[in-house]
Amino acid sequence: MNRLAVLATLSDAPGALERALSLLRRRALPIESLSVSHTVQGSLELSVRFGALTTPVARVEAELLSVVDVMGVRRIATDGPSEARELALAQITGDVGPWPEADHGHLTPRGAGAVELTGSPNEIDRGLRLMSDRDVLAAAVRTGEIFLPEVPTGHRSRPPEGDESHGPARP
Amino acid sequence: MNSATGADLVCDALLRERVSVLFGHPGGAILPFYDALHRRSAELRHVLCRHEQGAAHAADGYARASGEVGVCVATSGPGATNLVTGLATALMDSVPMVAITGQVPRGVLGTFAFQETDILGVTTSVTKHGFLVRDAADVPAVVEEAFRIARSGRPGPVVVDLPKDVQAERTERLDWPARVLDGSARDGSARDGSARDGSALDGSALEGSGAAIARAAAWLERAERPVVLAGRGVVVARQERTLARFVELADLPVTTSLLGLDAFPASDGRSLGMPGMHGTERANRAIQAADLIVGLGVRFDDRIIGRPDGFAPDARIVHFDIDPTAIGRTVRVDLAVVADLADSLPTLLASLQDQHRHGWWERIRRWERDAAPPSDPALQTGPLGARAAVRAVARRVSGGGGIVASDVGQHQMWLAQELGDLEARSHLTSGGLGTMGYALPAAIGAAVARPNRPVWAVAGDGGFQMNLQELATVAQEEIPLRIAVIDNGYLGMVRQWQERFYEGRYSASRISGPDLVGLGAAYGIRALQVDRAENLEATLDRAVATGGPVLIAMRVDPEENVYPMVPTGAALHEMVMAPEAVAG
Repeated sequence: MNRLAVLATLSDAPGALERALSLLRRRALPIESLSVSHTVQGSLELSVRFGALTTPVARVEAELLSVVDVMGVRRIATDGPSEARELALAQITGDVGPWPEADHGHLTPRGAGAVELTGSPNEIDRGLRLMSDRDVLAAAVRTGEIFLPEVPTGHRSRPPEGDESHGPARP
Repeated sequence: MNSATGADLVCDALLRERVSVLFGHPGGAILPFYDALHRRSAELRHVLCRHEQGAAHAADGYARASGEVGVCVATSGPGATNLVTGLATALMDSVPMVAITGQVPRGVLGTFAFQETDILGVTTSVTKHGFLVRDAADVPAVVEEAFRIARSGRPGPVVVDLPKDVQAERTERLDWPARVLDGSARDGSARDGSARDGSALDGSALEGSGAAIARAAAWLERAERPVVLAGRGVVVARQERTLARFVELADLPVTTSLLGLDAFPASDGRSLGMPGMHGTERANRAIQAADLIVGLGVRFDDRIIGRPDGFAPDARIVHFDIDPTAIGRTVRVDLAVVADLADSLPTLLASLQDQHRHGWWERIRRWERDAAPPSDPALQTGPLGARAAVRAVARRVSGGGGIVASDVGQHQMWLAQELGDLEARSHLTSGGLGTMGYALPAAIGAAVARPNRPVWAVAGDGGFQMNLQELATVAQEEIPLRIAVIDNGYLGMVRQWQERFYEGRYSASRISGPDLVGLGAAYGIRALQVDRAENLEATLDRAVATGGPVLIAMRVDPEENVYPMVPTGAALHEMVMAPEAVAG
């Protein structure tokens, strides 16, 4: 089984997201987390963390690149320190008490009865569990992971047309 | 100001792409385009099909026979959704197509307006790409882009959805820039549809093209029992001659997939025929005994490989393909060259020395000598055998430099087994999707594309009834098709599987149909019928001599089966031969 997280850059065109997600659905690729955002360049960035993959990682990337709107795919290392971050908003019913921030995420009060929790996905898991154990958690929503790779491992995009590395175009 | 409507700009753009024929059916939301088409009828021929599915298959047939992009047209809603099967057929078989669909006006999009469908949403998974044009000024760029995507990388279908008011909208007719779209999202580097260089893939089996080709050449040199598996990619890349030189120089046996039958001559001594579920005994034996498989522009689809972990158990597999997603999809691949075969195959050829494999060929010839005889007795008199009927048609196709479009089912497999030499782009069939009803409209498209070649449509009585309305298109356009209907009164392949795997319970596979001779007459098409072996040749001779369109109703043995057969879940060497062949 392979583990994989990727950042896919998409053109912000009508139907682009649908086409990319439709492909992931068709290939039955297990998605653990998915988020979408605009980049400052005006494109879309799709952050996807896959669960246990039976499909080779290189082919998952190739599949994504087969979608015309996908301009590039960057692989995120999943076996080393990750810069993955997530945000959770929690509705609480009382004082959460002393907060062990080191491994439970950063807690910020957001008005009456609400807190914001940021950190790695594991920290968010632990933080919400702690609130639940302390019997103060009423409800929570999570954004899904976003990534900022320290090293852009496996960064791939399509070669330009006419690139000599793949020879002349067929007439 | 030199202004034009969006519809006029579509016509301009089609002509710029060297389109001369469209296959379609008009309707309310595409009327402005049809009005423009009326003004341009001297330059753009429109073939009026009787159903949009027929139009899509006709465009597919045109594309396969010509090597150019096929174009079909439909109105919004049901017109567009009727294209879906044709688009899926084209996607599976890598056929370049552009489908132009009418859409409700922009102001009522998303309101459940009359004949409104989100056709881009509907077709997302059966097309390579799709565009909804929201401004008439975008038409030139979008059409150009649609054709580029359809042709490039692994070819496929693209939808261009045109709201009615965009078609009618006037805009300035600009000079044509080489590339109209701008922005990194749409520049040339991002539009290929597939990475074209193995260097873009860094998986263990995927290497840079140059190094991979060198390694493939080294593996070939050392191989004792290599086999080539050639697919439609060879034809798409126009590399049939390179393939012939390659296998001659390296002394290689060649197997061809269903879609690659016209990539290599069947009469060549190096041809082993088609492998797989209904492949030849020698092809399947060779693959299972091979120590190296060289796949060229082929998908290794499940009908070819049998049980994946039983495929070519002693062989290393080298896969040349333009589509990186095809690598390792069904079988393990030891070495991949992800590149255009037009580049990679000549490079491989140039790196090879003259090779000889006498021992391997002796073994293959022994299989050929010991092979089971054909599964039908080929009687000269008496009731007409199904395979015998198809064989007679196949002989006329191959012997007459013909093009043939087949449907799906038993006749498709018999035809694949019996066809002789074919020119490239002469065998049209729905290999991937397996679309019944494909043959007749696809043959129409092929005949329009290649008017100087004899074109045959071969269908079973089940598939024929799915699109027989296109007989009207044949008659109206006076297309000289030779239509052979192999009429056994069953959905033959369904019945064969029910006989073999469901203890003979023929559930819903018995099928009645019209009087085919009367049907031909109703459409104004000459029709002949044959049901006796002794009349077969004479009937086909009369059909060929007709000149115009002709329908040949071939009443055949209702329960004849296709052999050899590799049952689902079995490996290729576990093929089942005809009972009579085994007994005899």
